[in-house]
Amino acid sequence: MLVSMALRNLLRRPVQSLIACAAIAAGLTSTIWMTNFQDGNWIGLLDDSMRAAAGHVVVQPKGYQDSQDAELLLEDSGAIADQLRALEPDGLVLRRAFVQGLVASSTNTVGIAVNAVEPELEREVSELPAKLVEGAWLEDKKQIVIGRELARKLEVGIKDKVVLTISSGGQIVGLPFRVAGIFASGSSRLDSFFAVAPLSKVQGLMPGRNDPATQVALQLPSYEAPKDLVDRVRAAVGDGPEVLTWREVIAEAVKAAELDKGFAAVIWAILAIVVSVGVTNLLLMSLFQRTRELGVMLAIGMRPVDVGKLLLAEGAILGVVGAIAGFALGTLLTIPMAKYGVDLAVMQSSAPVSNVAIDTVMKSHFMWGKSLIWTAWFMSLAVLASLWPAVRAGRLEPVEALRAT
Amino acid sequence: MGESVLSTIVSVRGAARTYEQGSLQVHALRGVDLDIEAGEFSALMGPSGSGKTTLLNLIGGLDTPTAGSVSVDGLDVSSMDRTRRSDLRRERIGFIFQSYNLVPVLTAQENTEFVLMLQGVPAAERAQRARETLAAVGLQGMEDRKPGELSGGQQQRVAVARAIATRPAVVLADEPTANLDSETKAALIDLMRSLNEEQGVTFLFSTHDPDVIAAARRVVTLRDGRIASDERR
Repeated sequence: MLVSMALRNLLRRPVQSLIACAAIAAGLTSTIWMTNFQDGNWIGLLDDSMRAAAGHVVVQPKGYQDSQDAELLLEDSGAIADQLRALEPDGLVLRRAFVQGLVASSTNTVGIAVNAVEPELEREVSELPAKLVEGAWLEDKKQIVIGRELARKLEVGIKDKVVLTISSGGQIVGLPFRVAGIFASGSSRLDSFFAVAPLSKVQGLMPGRNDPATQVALQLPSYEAPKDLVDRVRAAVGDGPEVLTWREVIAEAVKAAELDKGFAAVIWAILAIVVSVGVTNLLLMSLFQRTRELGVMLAIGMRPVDVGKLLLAEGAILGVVGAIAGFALGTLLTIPMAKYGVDLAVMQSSAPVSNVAIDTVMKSHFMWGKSLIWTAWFMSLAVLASLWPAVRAGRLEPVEALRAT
Repeated sequence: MGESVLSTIVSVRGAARTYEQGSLQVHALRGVDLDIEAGEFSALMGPSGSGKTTLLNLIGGLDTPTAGSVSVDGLDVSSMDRTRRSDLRRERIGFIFQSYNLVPVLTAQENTEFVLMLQGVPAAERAQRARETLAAVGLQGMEDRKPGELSGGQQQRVAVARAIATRPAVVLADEPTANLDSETKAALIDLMRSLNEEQGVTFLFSTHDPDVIAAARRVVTLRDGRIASDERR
């Protein structure tokens, strides 16, 4: 009967009750949409970044993380890769060298950043093979894949020859490559200066070095790596190189994700305040209007705590109805965003991750568990917001309440 | 609530109630002694401000005396905390108010069941008892009507049904006929009188109404917070 009474009391003020429910529903809808969109994007971005620019664990020359000096190189990178493969047989070990220099065609010369990779292994983790608009991915030959904007500047097409020149050990060294593929990543910045070439051939630009690479990255099939992985890798490779987690390697992206989540937390706090104030206000108004009625209930033997429970039940009903509506609406709005997403290619030039081809179609990632937790939290919020009116109702003195008009 | 085994249902000893109004002290009751026996049909009368409602509030556990003691069905109300007084009201006292004071969102049936529900009476039993009680006060067929759909007299009958459905030790009625026309009032007095005579329900009224006073078998007159006369008929 208590729940039935609570429901009927809310229906006595249908407009106010509807407004309170709508506030809860709107707050939850926004939260579900926002968190699923945000999580989906950051998971995608960090995953792309982690896989394309790093790995779960990265071995690189000591000091490289701070200086980003292309002259700092690991020696004997194949042996390090073998050590990592022995450590995690299910993992994928990738060697990469990041070099900067000039690329020249028969008509033009422009600055370039080259990611030298093992083509077949990199194909498994990079977004670039899927972004090719002309030609094909690399084979282990003197081939290069360049951005569309870069191809336009160089006035080259597939199979055309370009010469890559870098400074290595104080010498200027150049090697010819043929254009195997042209990509359009969605980022005009990336498309205008970035290229990928086979590591084995780029190593030819580094005379005097023994199987050099900038990093050896270990990627595991799971999203999260075991906690002791870094320690085991350190033990395996010794003190020479630095061993970092992907969070440390792409610290800027991780920091941006955390900042974005912090911003979302502020928005959520504002939503929570608006929802709480709405519910508290409705129930306090109801309490003032029903003081005499509650006094009668106390007079005929309802315990003060049960009078409080009646108000809590009213808050809980508002919470349940509002949260169900909010969950349904939030889910409905998230589904198209999860399926189709929105292409934010034009904004990618401001993305915090350098030299990484990320998927520019931003999609939501609908997480049932998280959305249900938010739903439960908004229900709880309505109950919490009714605590104060409930306590006040429980403190009513029947004699005084009966005198209320 | 079962019927009392004591013959004295209400015992008031030297009860006083003083209210603070700013720097003023208002003495609503100034030492009242009163016993109400089981099965009585008694009226408290007196001019406004004589202390009738205050005395009824003390007996009903809605208020506590500043001096003296009040016991109901052998339990000392004056020493109880809020929750225990609430339990006492629920288990042993029925209330009828001047302006009916039904719960507006509940039907006549649900209003009558309300205190039974608070007592923890099983749903089927309380529904049966409420139906029987509503029939006893002449409201058969009106169980599903809400207070807004009933006349003043019918609402007060529901209030009587709510008060007696729990078979309380005593029913306290504060000016129960004040808002009723003379025909409805006469019917209500007859109803309460027959409940008293046939079912042994103990009634204590506060009233100005000459018809209620005429129907009462005992009339206690209060003046300036003291009992001025106590007449049994």
